[in-house]
Amino acid sequence: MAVIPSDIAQAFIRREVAVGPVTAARHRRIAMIYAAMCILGLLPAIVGMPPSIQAAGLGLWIPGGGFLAVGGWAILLFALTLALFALAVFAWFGAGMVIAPIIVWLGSALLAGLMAGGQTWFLAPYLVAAMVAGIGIYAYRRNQARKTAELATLEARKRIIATAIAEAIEVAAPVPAMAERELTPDDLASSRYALDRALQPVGQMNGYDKVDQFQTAALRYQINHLGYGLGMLQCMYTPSFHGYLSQAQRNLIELYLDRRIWGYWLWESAWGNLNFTDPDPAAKDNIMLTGWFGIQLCMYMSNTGDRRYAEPGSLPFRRNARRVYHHDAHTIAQSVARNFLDSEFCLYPCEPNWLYPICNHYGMTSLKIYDRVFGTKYVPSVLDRWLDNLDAEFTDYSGSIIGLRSSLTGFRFPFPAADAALAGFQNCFAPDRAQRMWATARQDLKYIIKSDESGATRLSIPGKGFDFGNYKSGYAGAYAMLMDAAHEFGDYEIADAALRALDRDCGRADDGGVLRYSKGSNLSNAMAMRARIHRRDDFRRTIAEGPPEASLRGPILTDAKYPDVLVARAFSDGAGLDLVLYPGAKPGPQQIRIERLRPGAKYAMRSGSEHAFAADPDGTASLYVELHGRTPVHIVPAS
Amino acid sequence: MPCCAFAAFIVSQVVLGFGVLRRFMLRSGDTLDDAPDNPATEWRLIGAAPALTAPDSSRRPGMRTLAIAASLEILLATGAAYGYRLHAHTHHHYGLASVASVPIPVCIR
Repeated sequence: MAVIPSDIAQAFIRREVAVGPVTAARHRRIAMIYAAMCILGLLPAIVGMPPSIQAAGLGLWIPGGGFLAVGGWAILLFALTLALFALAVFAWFGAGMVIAPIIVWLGSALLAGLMAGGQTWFLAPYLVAAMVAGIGIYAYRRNQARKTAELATLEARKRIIATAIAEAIEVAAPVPAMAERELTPDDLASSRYALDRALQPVGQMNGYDKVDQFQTAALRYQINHLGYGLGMLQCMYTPSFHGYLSQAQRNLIELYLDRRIWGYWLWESAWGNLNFTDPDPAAKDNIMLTGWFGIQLCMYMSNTGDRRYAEPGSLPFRRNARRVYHHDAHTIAQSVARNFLDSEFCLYPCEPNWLYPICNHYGMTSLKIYDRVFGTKYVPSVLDRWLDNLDAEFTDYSGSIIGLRSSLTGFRFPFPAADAALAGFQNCFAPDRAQRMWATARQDLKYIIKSDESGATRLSIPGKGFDFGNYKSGYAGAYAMLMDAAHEFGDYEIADAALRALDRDCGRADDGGVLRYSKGSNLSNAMAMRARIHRRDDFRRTIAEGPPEASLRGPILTDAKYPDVLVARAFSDGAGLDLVLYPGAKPGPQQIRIERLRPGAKYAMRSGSEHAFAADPDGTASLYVELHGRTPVHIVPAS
Repeated sequence: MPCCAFAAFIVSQVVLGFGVLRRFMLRSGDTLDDAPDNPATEWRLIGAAPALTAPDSSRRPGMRTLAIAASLEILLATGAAYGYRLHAHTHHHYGLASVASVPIPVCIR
């Protein structure tokens, strides 16, 4: 069915509010709690209670406010408490430590009360009231300014939205046919970056960035993105090659079960959800684990037909010798679906109390692929409500999705969210909306498309950038993400411009047959690998369609030595097998193993010359092939 | 004891706050290069690249360190508050004692 730009644009144009009913209720609740604190804090002064109670009361108005009432040198503690409160909010944001700001606020009030002498500083109540009013006015004005800017963006978008969508559709390249799919030598070199990391013994993590396990540089995200890259490669280029490619994906899945990867949840569950006894990583919240991991699991099972991770208890999250959280692909998906259904926002938190729409997009995508692999209907049962809430609670006045909202307070916090990245996920479960989102994101990208000295276009983002994979400067992750999104929507001009920027600015290095970006984090390199091999709708097809049916029943390449034999293409038509191989080390003969042949049947292997062979009674055959550069190998039933 | 705990608490805030500022606002932890090379990317499964030692995260406080430090601080703060409470009770007691004209020390460290 043809996409009509005006139809896609309608929902966007009708947008009028940016605070939905659930968010508004949270705002009201937090306002009432704060009002109660202020009244409670003021009462001691009004009724003439002892100075200690008055100081503690003033501390309820603003963190550390009580120290002003204490007076003297204690006034210095007010500034320190504010700094500590900021730090506590950061700990809340970074690691879900919801108790931190509460302890600092109430603790400082208590401390001020204990420190108060015979009388309070007479100016303190006025200063505190003035500061609270000042902060309130500042916050209001800032919100209004942001609202005005967002509404201006909305108006600008309304004017161009239909044209933008039409243009995005017009420039989009057609979806490539499977017959055309083949990795280039650069693609293969890039895929070796991921394979090297995935094929090391499970438990070793050489070549990973080890910074923290709470935020964006956490190992789990690096593992997920390496898995997504290899999974999409298998689905789109080599569905009939299992061997080390499947082993690599299994290694990543099994590495994910290591407590070093998911152990952060033991902490977050305690200090965020006050759950000290049963911190199951796939129960309440934690969509940053379940949603992301679910995609990786289902990609592997969808590509290979291997259902080992659907077996009960096949994914043991081992806390210690006595406590194991037994999970499998079903319980992971059920956790996502149940949390969606139970949450008032429908979207639900990563860290306790923090709602990230981006992680919820991963979660919905994980249900999409799970539904296809296991025949369930989770997505149809929850998608409408999920999208309604995304629009009502998590979309700003300009029509862009916000980065982060606190589920406790309803407050929106600054966190980057790229429409382009979100559009790629929506393409899996809401393609019309994805097209609209990409069209607007694409318009914004026009401002950063420049010409280099050779006249070729490239993306150019000003400043030093920020790499979320290691918290250092750099744009490798941003360029990779934009290339990935542009490829998904068939906009190869923007994708090429992003690739050029990556190659020029991010330290491209080709050594030892591996392509990497030395100025990027491991996470950014994993994203760049997937972005490089990405073509139109590849992610959507990997999630929503899976590999060609014939590849799940026809002959497969199961054994080839890594990195001596690199597989650029592997497709089966159900009877034969079409391969393109490259030598990864040196040219010469290499042994490969084929399985799922017809037992005892005669076949011909064509690779330059033709060799006849017969499959073993178990349907396998070991063959030698001469690899010299690009080497096509065709295995066909003998006529 | 409460005074020491409270002092440690305050000092830790200053040190930690400075570290956070340095890292996230001034970015002084980064080199002056626009983007530093990442040694983690050099690692190879087979080949010349050396196996990585711990990456340079060891020289900068990570989120884990931050989380542990924050937990310790909360413990310190709680300890300080509790200690101060005892301290205050002691003051109260001494206050009564002074009414009775009994000479006693005011602060115990």
